[in-house]
Amino acid sequence: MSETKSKDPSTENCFQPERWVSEHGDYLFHFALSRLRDPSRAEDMVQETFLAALKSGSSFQGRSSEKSWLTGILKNKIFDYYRKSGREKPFTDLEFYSDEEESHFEREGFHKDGWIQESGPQEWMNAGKSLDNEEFWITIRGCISKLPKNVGAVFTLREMDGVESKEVCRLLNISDSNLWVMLHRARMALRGCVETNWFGRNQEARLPK
Amino acid sequence: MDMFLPSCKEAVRLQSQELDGALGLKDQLRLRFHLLMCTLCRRYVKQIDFLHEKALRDERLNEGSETKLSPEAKSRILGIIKENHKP
Repeated sequence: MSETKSKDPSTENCFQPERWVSEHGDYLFHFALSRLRDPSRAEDMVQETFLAALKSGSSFQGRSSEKSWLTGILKNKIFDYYRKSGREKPFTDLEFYSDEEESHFEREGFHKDGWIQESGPQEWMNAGKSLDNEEFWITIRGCISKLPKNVGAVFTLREMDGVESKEVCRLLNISDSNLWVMLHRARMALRGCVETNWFGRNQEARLPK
Repeated sequence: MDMFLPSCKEAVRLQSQELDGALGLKDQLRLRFHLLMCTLCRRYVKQIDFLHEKALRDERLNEGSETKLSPEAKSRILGIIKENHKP
């Protein structure tokens, strides 16, 4: 009983900002940076998250871990930021990779819009096993960070944060059809990047024994 | 022909739309029909599903240690937290 109490950050004698920053600072910063692509804004968000957590300390009741509680606060801050900047300028980016999309498919002939054999999807060996390899995560994070900024915002909201499509459209001020185009191109680009950089050659050598 | 059988280019677009819950029954059938006959699209769809269901929802994706808060930023943030904490 006393143990659960001492873990509750809302109790006065457990206010440990040093521990907060050292335990969760890097995680929250990485979380914000991968979504906002702006180090100083990400830093500000981390700071605001801690301040908000401090104010609403009583709402943390140990139901979830401290980390996911803080992450929830940060997510809301990021959503607010998107909502605000989406009102000023919609997040639409339709230029992105349309050429790359074209390059995978036959342009004409009987097989028009079918895969060009040599640039079609390759077999991914041991995909499930990759999840246990830290290098796989570095690769996929790198691929996500290469998506253009607006597309990255759409993609991280929908695919990583699991926000419903309608809600993403509202937040970022884009239409349904623009959302679908952006998501499709982002998925296609990510698939290609992961294939090239992870499932490509020498994959066997990198898998854990 | 298009009515019944989408091209590969269209099929992969349909799959993406299906993941966002925006595919009508007719297009769902067209997609399934195409996948029955197309090895490369089956492979593509499986890979996208893997990314969508497994990799992108995995908590490890957010555990990147490639980027860290600088020591300066940490002490700045710490200072501001303490400043704002009024017992």
